[in-house]
Amino acid sequence: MDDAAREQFHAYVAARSPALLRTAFLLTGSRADAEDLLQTALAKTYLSWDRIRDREALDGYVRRILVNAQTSWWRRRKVDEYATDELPERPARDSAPDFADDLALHDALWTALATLPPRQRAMVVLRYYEDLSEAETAQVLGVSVGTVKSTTFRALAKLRDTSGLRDDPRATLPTGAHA
Amino acid sequence: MSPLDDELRAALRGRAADVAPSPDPLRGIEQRARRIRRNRLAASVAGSARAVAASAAVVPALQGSGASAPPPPGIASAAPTEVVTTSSYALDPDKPWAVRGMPVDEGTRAAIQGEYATRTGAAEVLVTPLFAQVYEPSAQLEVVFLARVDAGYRWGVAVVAGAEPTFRWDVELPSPAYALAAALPGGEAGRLLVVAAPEVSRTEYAPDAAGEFSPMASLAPGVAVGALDGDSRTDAYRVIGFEGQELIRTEAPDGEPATDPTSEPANLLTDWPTRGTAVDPDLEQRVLELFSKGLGKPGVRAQYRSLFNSDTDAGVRYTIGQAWNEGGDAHTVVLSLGGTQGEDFLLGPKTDPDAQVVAALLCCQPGSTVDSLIVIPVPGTRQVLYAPTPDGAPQPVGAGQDYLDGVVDIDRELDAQGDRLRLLDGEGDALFDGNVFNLLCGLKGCG
Repeated sequence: MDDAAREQFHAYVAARSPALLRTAFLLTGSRADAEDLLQTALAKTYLSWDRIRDREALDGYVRRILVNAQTSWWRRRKVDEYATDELPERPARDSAPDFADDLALHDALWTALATLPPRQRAMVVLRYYEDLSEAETAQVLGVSVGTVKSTTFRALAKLRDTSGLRDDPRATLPTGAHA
Repeated sequence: MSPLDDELRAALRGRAADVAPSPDPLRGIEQRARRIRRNRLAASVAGSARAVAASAAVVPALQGSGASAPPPPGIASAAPTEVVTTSSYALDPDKPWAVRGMPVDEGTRAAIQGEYATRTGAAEVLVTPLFAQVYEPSAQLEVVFLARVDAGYRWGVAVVAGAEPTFRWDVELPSPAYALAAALPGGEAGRLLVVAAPEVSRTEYAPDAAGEFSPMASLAPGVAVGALDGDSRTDAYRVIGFEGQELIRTEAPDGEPATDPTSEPANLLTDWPTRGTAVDPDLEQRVLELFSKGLGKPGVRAQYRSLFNSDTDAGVRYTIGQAWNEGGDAHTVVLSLGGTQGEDFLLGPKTDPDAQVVAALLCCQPGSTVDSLIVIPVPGTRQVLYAPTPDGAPQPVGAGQDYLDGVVDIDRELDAQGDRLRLLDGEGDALFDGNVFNLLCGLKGCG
């Protein structure tokens, strides 16, 4: 990589790393893991920098590396760290939803997110945080749009069930989606 | 938009907003890049020293041709896929290329051949080694071989570690065969191993459709290895002949990451519930026995997860699910008992991890004039449609079968050909639309 290319790479990292770090955090659930994951993704991007013709598509390229690396790490992870479907008991709600309830709901969803397999989690993050369309998500993950739709639906259903929100009106599944 | 959509967005954005930027985002990236590059190189060429040393003894006359190869031509695009020329560079299965790399003794060759005969179930198998090396990270002997299987030809990569060889790659021999390319477990990225004629000049790899080809590391004359670190959908390799002509340029095979023996297979359909009744313990035990036997690994511990269990009106008990050995991929399997054929076991191919439907055919039911086509749709499917002929309009099926938990039992004519399935989601979009034939596959074929 020549000096000009290196400068371009540095400028890209400086501009985009805060946003990419947030995405990495949502994929991993841990600040330390997110920094490690992002550094890996950016290092791989650095190695491929000269071959990347379409600089407009850089974010998509890095996102794909983030998701693939996270999935790969998850598969290789030792059994001393694993996701569980069993969550701490939450107090029953006996009054109308309010601000505190919203926080509790968001906490529950965040905790439930950790129980999803990495590809499901990635789809949720790409669809609901990055606001990518189904087609864009499919492109990032290298799967069909149908797979995005069905996997996302299953992820949402699991989030709702795992976080104990099956009967909560705020956790209604998308209408018109898969039954 | 639904309430859950909104709440999820709010939850994710709230969490993300708490993540402060790194004070020095550039720190460590270039050092890590250098480490990744070193690891890729080490993983790719591990074993090359031993293999090349051995190959010098095996094919000494060929070293000169490799050394005097012409310089690399200019940059070329990875796409499109094509075979450019024809020549004696192609593998003649009746007169295979000289074996390269480490010598393979007759005992090892015979062990691979015996195991391969069990795996394929063929009456006549003849295995001929083409290249062998010890892959240093695993300290296992890898043998690239050509196999005559009854009247046809296949090729693969066997790993010899202990008493029984296992197979990392096993495909039909292409025709013409200018190069045999396998995606093997490597370091961080997978490993691309390409075996071509000993006379070729070099083999090159391009990481994506727009990428430039760069030479792969040579293990022996005509044998090259590199890291599969490109875009798996568009990366490519090409083989350059002695005169500098392009012999073949084609997509690189998909890489498979190294498997962790303690983990579940990556292609296990974990999101799919077990539907129907609970699995019959006797059927499950028999599935495990037949699966291990079918893969030629009797006694190796296998595991099974059923996707659907039931019985037919004719009294046929059956289970459909996935079976796997430790460290291996899951295969789709079907076992039925009680038909006129008695025990009927289908060992299917490795399950597509993105499968939208799993199907099985229950034949030979006592007193029945049709087969039962059991369709297990991906969870979230709203409607299953079936067309008994290629030209017929698919019609909804499964009415009155709510007790099957979304699975559909279709009466399929004994001589059905070209029948089709279509699965729709809640928005009416097709999740699957294709021939039934392709869903009914065993290891040896479909239909």
